[in-house]
This record gives sequence, C-alpha cells and structure tokens, in this order.
Amino acid sequence: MILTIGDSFTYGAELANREHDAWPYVLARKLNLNVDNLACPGGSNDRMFRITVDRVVQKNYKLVIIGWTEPSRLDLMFNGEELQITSASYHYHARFPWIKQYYAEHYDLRHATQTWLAQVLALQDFLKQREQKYVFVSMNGQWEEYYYKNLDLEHMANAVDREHYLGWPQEGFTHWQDNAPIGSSGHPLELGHQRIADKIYEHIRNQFWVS
Amino acid sequence: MILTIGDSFTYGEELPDRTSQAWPYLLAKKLDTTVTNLGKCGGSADRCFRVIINNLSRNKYKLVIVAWPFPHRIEAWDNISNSPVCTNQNSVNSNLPWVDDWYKFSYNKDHAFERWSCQILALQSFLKQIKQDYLFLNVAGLQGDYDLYEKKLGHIWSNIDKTKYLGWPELGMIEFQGDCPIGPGGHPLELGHQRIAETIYDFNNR
Repeated sequence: MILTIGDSFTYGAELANREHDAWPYVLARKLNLNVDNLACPGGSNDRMFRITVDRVVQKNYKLVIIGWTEPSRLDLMFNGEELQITSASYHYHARFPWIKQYYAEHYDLRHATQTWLAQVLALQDFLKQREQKYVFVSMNGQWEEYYYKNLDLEHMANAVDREHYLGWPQEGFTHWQDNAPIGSSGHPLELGHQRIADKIYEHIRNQFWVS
Repeated sequence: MILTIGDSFTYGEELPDRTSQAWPYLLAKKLDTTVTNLGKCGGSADRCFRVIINNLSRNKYKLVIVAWPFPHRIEAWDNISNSPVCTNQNSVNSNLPWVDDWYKFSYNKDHAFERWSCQILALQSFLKQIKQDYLFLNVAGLQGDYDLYEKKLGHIWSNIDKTKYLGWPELGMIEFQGDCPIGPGGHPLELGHQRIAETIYDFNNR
C-alpha cells in the first residue's frame, strides 16, 4: 500500500475518472500496489503534515508521497468538518468573514514559507527515523523566484534532503505535465497525470526502491 | 549557550527583572552558561515549532528547551509591527479584529491538540536527527485533557520520547512552581521561577 497526500493536483480534480487517472492511481498500477490517496481539493501543507504523522505512526507503508502545495493555505476544522482555506476560497468568504481580512492584513509570505519549511525539515527526519520510504514533490517549484532570492530562508532550504524531494527546488507537477492539456481550472488532465506518475516512478526506480 | 522558547512563563512576565529572575536565566546560571531566551508573551506552539527549526538550521546549542504553550493559540502576521503575533480567544487584540470570529466560527480544540501532538513528534525527530540535546516540558500538565484526548491521540502520544519530556503528561510549570506566590496575571514570581529552574536542572542531570 502506498500513501499519497496533497491538494487538488494529487486528488485528481477535473478528471472524469480521478480514481483511475489521477497520478497516485496511475503510479500505484505501475508499482502493482494499492494506494490510499488522502489528498483533497485545496489541501493545505498543515493538513499534509498533520495527517502524515497521524497515519505513519499507525502503519508502515511501502511508500509515502506528499505533494506539497503553496504555503498560504489554512487547515481548520469546525463542527466536525475539515476546512481547507485558500486566499481564493471565495465560497468560504461569506461563511467566514474573517478570512478576507486575514489574507489582506495578517498574512505574510515569508512567515508562511518558514512554517512550511519547518514542516518539511521535521517531517523528513520523522520519516527517516521510522525507516519509512518517502518522496516529497511540489505542486509548483518556485524556489529561485520567491524563496532563495527574497525570503532569506536559504539556510532552511539547504537542509532539505534533495534525494527525497523530487525536483527540489525548481520543479513540480506543473513542470512535469509540460504542455499537456489542462482543465478549465488549471489542473492536469489524463496525459498530465501520466507524465507526473512517470516522473515519480522514474525517481523511485533510480533510488532502487523498485526493480 | 542554551536556547529556550515558550510563552510568557518562559519570557518571565510579571517579574521585576526578568533577565535575571526568569527560569531560563536561572537555569543558565546553574549550568554555567549563557542563554538565548526566545520566550514570548502569548507565544503559540506553532511559533515554537517554526522558530526552533529555523534557528537550529543555523545554530547549535548546548541544550534546547521547548516549554510548550497551551495548544489553542494561533500565530499570524501583524502588518503594523511587521512581525508575527500570537493570540488566543481570551486576548483583546485591536490589531487582529478577525480573531474573535476565528475562534467563534473556525476553532476546534480536538484539531488544535492533534496539530500540536504532531509537532511534538516531528520536532523530536528533527532534534534527534541533528544530534541536538533537548528537553520538552509543558506550561501546565494536561490533566483532564489527557483523558479527553487519550483515545483520539494516544497512538501519537505513545510515540513521544518521554525521557526527553519533563513531566509528561500530568505535570508542567504550573505544577512545578507549587504553592509559590503568583502575579495578578497568574504568572510565577521569583520563587516559582527558582523551583521551575531547579526541576529542569534536576531532570537534565538525572
């Protein structure tokens, strides 16, 4: 069994048959394994961090893959409902008026990125110590533009284990899908997911995790 | 040099001379070293997690002590001071008018405890991996919250390295200070900080 977690790119948003065509399912077939895909649309890094720790202490997976997203998203729960909030979650703005003010006045990119990098660094050590094979990937590699040059976070970014973070720091899903067709909301369609699965599979094979 | 982080209990709130009377400074004196004290009034668990990993990606210390605050606090960015700010549902913070609504419509205690528990476990892994000596403690023992969340979070808590967690789960700084006088804001005064420093010192030397 492999565990995948991420946002809409890992969930398979905009696919006609996501449980067949999204990259976690394509990859699982290539590996001849089952997949527990816990991604959700709008999924935050906070949620990925929380759920990965929760699951991995309960079960050892053949492989854990986290598709990290952009760092602005919030992980909330209210009345038993898990809420993943982004600055563009306009459908939540009416229900939760504080969100608009939060993003307008009390959100900072460096602060959010530092929080995310702390999660990446802690989680890679957590997985390593539990001898849990894992791969980290990004929805969209943005390192040179945002992090390295502008945010003074290179000391944290340099501590990322590049052997386990595929494409770090420049590449991510949006690069690997290349010029494949995308849906109206910008998500990869079947061909894009195949390319993403191929890229991750190639990495896993290069690590000698599969023959 | 040692590094300490936590909330107002670690900062030394309500002490006349916190940089000589708060437990981080007393402990450093007992250990014959200096201290970088990153305690902050209202400090959150999120802040502890973020700041410690950021700091230790650049520096190494003789000992790192994380005095975890109550997990319900949140951390956001304050555009006025241009710095992170932590708050909770009891704070009246005019800079953060959305906080009331956040706690009213979006806060869940179970979720906050789960998030904090994951931070504890992952931070222990990080500190072990970089071979940084450390210890954790809580502001207060979990008391009823332990029983409340043991069923939901026991599988995470059972993985905590208790040899590095002073007082887990039933004791914290409030219990360590015992019946010492406290300030109007509920913080330990000189004697309470001395007892906390002694308890940490004994645990570290055990």
